[in-house]
Parts: sequence; C-alpha cells; structure tokens
Amino acid sequence: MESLHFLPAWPLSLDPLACFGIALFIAVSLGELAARWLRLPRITGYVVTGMLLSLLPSGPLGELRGGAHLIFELAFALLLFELGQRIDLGWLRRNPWLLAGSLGEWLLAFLAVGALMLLFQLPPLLTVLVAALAASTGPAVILGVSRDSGARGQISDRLMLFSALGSCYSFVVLGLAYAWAYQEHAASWQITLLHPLYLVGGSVVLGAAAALLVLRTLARIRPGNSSQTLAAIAVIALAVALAKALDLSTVVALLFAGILSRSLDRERRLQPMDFGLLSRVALIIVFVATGTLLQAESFTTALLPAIGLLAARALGKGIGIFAFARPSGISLRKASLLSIGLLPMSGAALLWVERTASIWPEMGAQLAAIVLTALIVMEMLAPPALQFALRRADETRED
Amino acid sequence: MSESNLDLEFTQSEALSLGVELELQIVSRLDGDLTQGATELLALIERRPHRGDFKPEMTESMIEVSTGVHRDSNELGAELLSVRDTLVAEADRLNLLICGGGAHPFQHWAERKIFDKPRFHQLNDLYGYLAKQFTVFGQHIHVGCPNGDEAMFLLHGLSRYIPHFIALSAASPYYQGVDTAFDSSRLNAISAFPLSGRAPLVKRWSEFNEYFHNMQSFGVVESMKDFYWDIRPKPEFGTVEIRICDTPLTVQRATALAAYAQTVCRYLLVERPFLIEESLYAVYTYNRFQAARFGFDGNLIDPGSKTITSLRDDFNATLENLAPHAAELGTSTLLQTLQQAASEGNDARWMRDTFARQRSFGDLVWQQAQLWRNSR
Repeated sequence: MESLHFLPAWPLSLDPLACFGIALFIAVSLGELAARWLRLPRITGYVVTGMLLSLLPSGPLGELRGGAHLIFELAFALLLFELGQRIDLGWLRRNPWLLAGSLGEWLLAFLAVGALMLLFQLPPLLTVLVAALAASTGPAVILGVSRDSGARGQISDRLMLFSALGSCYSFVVLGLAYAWAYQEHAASWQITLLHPLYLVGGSVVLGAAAALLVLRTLARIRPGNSSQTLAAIAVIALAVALAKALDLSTVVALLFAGILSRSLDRERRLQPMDFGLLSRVALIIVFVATGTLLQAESFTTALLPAIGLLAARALGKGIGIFAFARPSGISLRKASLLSIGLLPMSGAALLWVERTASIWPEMGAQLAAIVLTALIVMEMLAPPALQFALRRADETRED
Repeated sequence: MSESNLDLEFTQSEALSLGVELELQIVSRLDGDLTQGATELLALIERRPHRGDFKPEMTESMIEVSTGVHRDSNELGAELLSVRDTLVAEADRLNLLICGGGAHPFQHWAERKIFDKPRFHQLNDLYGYLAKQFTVFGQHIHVGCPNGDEAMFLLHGLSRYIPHFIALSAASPYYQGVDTAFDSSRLNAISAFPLSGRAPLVKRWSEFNEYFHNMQSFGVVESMKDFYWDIRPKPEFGTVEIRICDTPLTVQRATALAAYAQTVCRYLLVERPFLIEESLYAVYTYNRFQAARFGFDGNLIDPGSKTITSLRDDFNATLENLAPHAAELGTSTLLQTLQQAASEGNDARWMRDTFARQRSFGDLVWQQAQLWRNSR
C-alpha cells in the first residue's frame, strides 16, 4: 500500500500559535467559570490558567513561557497606556489632598515593609528593593477588575490614580536603589550614576515621544473613528519595541505616554482609548503570563516573611488612606473600600526581579524568593478583594 | 394613612414671589459620560457654608439645586450664581464636571444607578426602565400664590405660554447618541409617564381637592408628587410650579426663564386677557409638539383667535404685551436676553453648532460644562 504521505507525521508538532490558542481557550473558560459560578473576577481564572500551565514540565505548552515574553510586554503596555489615559494629573491640582493621600499610602507601606524586612535581617539594599516593589499597587489588576465589572465612580477613579502614581514612586526609588546596588558591587561611579539616570530619563523621554506621536497622528483622524485606535496601537507597539531595544522600562514609558497623550490633548481629539476586545485579550495574556511566572521554589520557607510583608503593607496603605480621606472628599466607609482596593501587588515586580537577577544573580534570587511568594498570595486574594470593594462602593455594572 | 384623607391645605405665599429648582448632570472629566458622584458631592457641599439647597435626584448622576424665595428675579439670579460656584468648586475636588442641558447627549440609560433612597427604589420598581430612562434634567419654576384658587387660575392661564417655555429652554437635541431632530427630546421621555401632560380643567382649589381625593381613592396617586404634569400646583409651598423647561446651559437663561414666568403671571393676574375654559387645551398638545420639535421655527395655534402664527412671532408679540409688567417687576433686561435667544438661537441650536465643529459628543459635553462653569 502506498504510504499516506499527505498525513502529517505523528506525534503532531505544535507551534507556539497552537499553544497560544490552547492557553487562550483555557483562560477564557476558567475566566467565565470564575465569573459565573464563583462570582470572582475573570482575571483570577486567567492567573490560575497560567499557574496550571506552568505545572507542565515541558512539551508544547512549555514553549509559551519563553516565546510569549514580547507579547506579554506588548499586552502589558496596552493596558498601561489605557490606564495612563484615565489619569488626570489636573485632579491633583484641584484636590491637593489626593497627592498627600497617594504619597501617604505609598510611603507608609514602604516604611512598614522596610521596617519588617530589617526585622527579618535582610540587608539594607535588599530591604529597599523589596519595600519599593511592595509599596505600589498593581495597575493592571485595577484596570482589569474595574473593566471587567464596568466600574465607574470615585473609588475606581482614585484606585487608578493611586496605582499609577504609586508605580511612578516605586520606579524612581528602584532607580535610586540600582545606583546604590552598583556602588555596593563596586562599579565605577559613571555606571552608578548613569544607569539609573538613563533608565528613568530614557523611559520618560520615550513616553513623551510616543504621546506626541500619537497626538500628531490623531490630529488628522476624526474623533471616534476606529483608525484612531489602530494608529495608537501601532505607536504603542513601536514604543514597546524601542523600550526593549534600548533596555528601558516599558511600564513607565507607556504609562507616561498614556498620561501625557491625555493631558496634552487640549482639543479633546483623542477619545479615551478603548481598545475593546483587544484589551481583553491583553488582560488574558498578562495574567496568564503572570500566572506562569509565579513560581517560587522557596514558597514554603518564604511564606512567613511574605505574609508579614503583606500585612505590613496593608496596614501602611490603610493608615495613609484614612489619614487623608475626609479632606480629600470621601467618607471613612469609602476610605476603607479604597484601602481594600489598593491591595493588589504589581506584576511589574516580575520584570524587576528578572532584571535584577540578570545583573546580580545572587541578590535576584533572594529578591525573587520573598517578592514572588507575596505576589502569588496577592494574585489570588487581591482581585476578589478589589471586586468586593467596587461592588460595595456600588460602582460596578454587572448583570 | 389617616392624614391622606385630609384636604390638601394650600399654604399662603406672597403673590409673584419666585423660586427655582434645577436638575443638573454629573459627568466624568474623562469622557463626558454621566458618572456617579451625587453622594460624595452632597457630602462635600454639606460640610461648607453655602446658599441654596442641594438634593439627590433619581440617579447617582443627577443633582438637584434649588433657591430660596425671591421677589426680585435679579436677586434670584445672584443666588443661582452662588449655588453654581459652590457646586463647581466641590465637583472640581472630585474630578467631576457639572453641566446643564435637558438630556445627556450620549449616555446609555441602562447604566444608571438608582440613588439609594426608598422613594427612588420604589419608583424604579413601579416604572421599570422608564425610571432610568427618566435620566432627564429639567428646570422647575415656582411662582407664589396667595391662595389655591389663584394658583389654579395661573396654572391654566400659563398653559397658553407653555410653547414659549419649551422653545426658550430647549437643550436636549441629542439623546442616546443620536440627533433626535427635536429641540427638546426630554419632553418625549416625560410623556411616557401615565400622569404627564396637562392638568384637568379644575378651576377652584376645593374642586382640585375633590379630584385629588378621587385619584387617591382609586389608588392612582399617593401624593401630589405622583403628578408629572407640565404645570402643577404645589400646595406645600403655596405655588404654581412650571415643570416644562429643560435645564438650560447657563444660569442666566435659568434666571431669565424665571423672570419670564413671573412677568407672564403678573400680566395674567392684572389683565385677565382670556377666559379659562377647555378650548384653551384644544390645541395644547399640537403647540407643545411644535415647540419641542422645531423650537422657535415651529407653528403655534392661538387658542383664542384660532389663527396659526409662527412661535417666534407669537413670542415677540407676547413680549410687547408684557413690557409694562416687566418694567414694574424689573425684568426687562432679562426678557431682552430671551428675545435675543428667540432670534439668534436657543441652547439646542448652540449644541448642534458646537457638535458640528468637532463631531465629538465628548467634546460637546466638555463645552457644555465650560459654559455652565464660566457664564456670567
């Protein structure tokens, strides 16, 4: 019998596209399951998908981990740009107590976590890194959950503002910590000074350039036309590629691009970008990828300090929010909901851990142990807590 | 329930005194869509000394402001300006915008949140989607009356001028993201309610009481609040209440509308220009539709002479009749601004022109908010 040459060889070789399809399918299913049956945020389903995938030792699905990195950053960047667009810096001028509140909650969380880490006898430099990564609130989780539940109102607005500002504070402090790290590792003063400067300055300049490019392009397209959105996506992709190539922070560049593209848009040509379905895909990618990266070999040993860290952090944030709640114009009840909503940790910590590990492997490993453990706990607990807060604030629109 | 069988007592108030209520939109600075914020806004305003009264309305995206009682429309205007400034300052702290207009140009009614108060939830249960669709914004003008009989006389007399009030205040050409072709689309949202439109031809307060008790015994209404008429008596305040107007885009227009109401009432009381009889209402819905649809370009059938004129001409002729009364009340300058609006274009015209420039509803709402904030 002639061989059935037109049939493919067995076993099938699946390329990353198939893996992507399978992962997306599982994520969507688990997301719906979470939403329908457990009344949980969909992103919880996505994170669980990622964690399940990471259990597979190798094989086709393992490809996702390596290959998805750039897609992950692009998706993350889309979300950050979208979040940035929802940030109105003019609000800080109209209500300066918000700035006080945001600085307060970040700083108190930073100090509380720092004090605890010193208590656990971490070296000072590592302490600063851990505290800076812990002090901010995860913007992607905020955006994901509030989009998922159609939230609108004071608490949602403030959550977005605070998570964006917190990310910026953390970024600056991490930049300074890097300078310190170089010093400790006896680098020349040029490197000590120049790397953080390059990192902060470069990311900001890149963000500003992207914002200007978006606005320039949009000036020629009618508001509301979907070509506006497509042009913006093109610029975002370009900015991500540049940030990667130049070794800058995509997080800060894109967040900044979003913020600027809004505040420089004097004629309101730019409708607040709604990337629609695309941003839902981006959410899935970001949280599935986060899930796959959430592996801490030292989960059990680091669990205690991690839980301590989370408690200290929550306490610091809570005090900071309550202190400025009344003057900033919300009731104490809403302040407690805001404090709960600020619990999510930033997935950007993953990028920092990786970056650190690539420069100083030993410190990176120590950082990974505690930060990833805390992140795993928070990725499970925080989204439902945030959803709860938004529901209690009566800001969600759910069927 | 025992007191519900008592007669509605008409509180005596000074003839031709004035008060105004405005329902305003709370919108997001981000995209100009309606957003919730009434609770926080009211809490902030409560914490500072202010003129005027601030109340929640049906949904979290609305706020109602009202003035005290004034004899002089210019003083009323001054209070409204102060109320406006309070509102805008506190809204700024919450990153909210406040704007006038009879309806939001592109909101989706299904997204509205009912303000947490028993009466509002009750209405929501009773009227279903109508309750949320009722996210429309009106100006109510109260004119004081010494007794109920006079209130009923003014109620019916004013019905002749309802088309003027509609065209002067019209500020809801867009609804749910489309140009409705109406100058005031808000009136169509109100017409869906069972007790909307005109009041029955009842001339004496005692007869009105009878009518009210009848309706109450049928279970049709529980209180006066259940009547959504274009003009209704308000016995607690001792006023006749004109409810037909869209909330205008500026405080000035709101003040001028109140001044117009006051002047027409004086004219009616002093000159008694026509008899109150059912024939007044024969053309009522036709005139009302013409004004809501076409604004001042619409037609008006004069119920007395049975002739068709343009609404603009009829309004200008009315202003001439009112002139001596305006001089007496000190409303001449305010009425002039209305004459200007009638010839140069009302708020609906302004909204259409503004939208035509950028073709963005977000921008339109932004411009509306700027107009509300800055108008002097």
